[in-house]
Amino acid sequence: MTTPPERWLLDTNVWIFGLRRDDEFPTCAHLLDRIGTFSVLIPLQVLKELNLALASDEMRDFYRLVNQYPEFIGLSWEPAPTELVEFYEQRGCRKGDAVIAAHAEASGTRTIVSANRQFLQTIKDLPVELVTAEEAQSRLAEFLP
Amino acid sequence: MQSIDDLANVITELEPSEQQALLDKVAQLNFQKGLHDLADKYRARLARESQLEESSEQVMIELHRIREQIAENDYPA
Repeated sequence: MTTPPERWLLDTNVWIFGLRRDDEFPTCAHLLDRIGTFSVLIPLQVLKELNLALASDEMRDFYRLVNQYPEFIGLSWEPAPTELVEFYEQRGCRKGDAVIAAHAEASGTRTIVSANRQFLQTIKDLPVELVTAEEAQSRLAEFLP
Repeated sequence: MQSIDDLANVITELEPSEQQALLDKVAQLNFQKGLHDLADKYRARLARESQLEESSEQVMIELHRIREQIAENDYPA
């Protein structure tokens, strides 16, 4: 299978609003439908959050699915480096958001897609960039034929 | 509908790059189907538990609570 050209970290809220097919965030579901045209990193913090949001049988289905398509989705079980978490906290991120940003930077994933307004407003001029699902979708339209 | 053999014969007539594009597309569609099945299951459970009508804001607040709880546990001050 061909490896997609871009890899993004989808924040937990994108997964949850996408799976819920939330009316207020329809682009989250659209974005999940496009996985495969881009690849996804799921870091430890997001896995832990999904594990609390989804029921055990739903989580089992989720793991079965992502394990079938390693070209599309990569799981990272590595904790985010503490010094990077502190780096992002010092730049205004709440601790949990700082963990997500630290995961992205440590794994070399430059882009985080999130619906979290506060998180989106915090990260500016830093090694990782945050974009909304709408911005991510527009980007897909640019690099896909 | 074509038989599997007929379909395979059509596919082998394609250029290698077209075959790869076809395989990629099939994988993507299978992945999407799996995600849709998961979404249906998740939504059915939320409906049973009367959680499906929660506002986006409520969902976001709960996700924020979960996030900070995990982060505080993993990275204590």
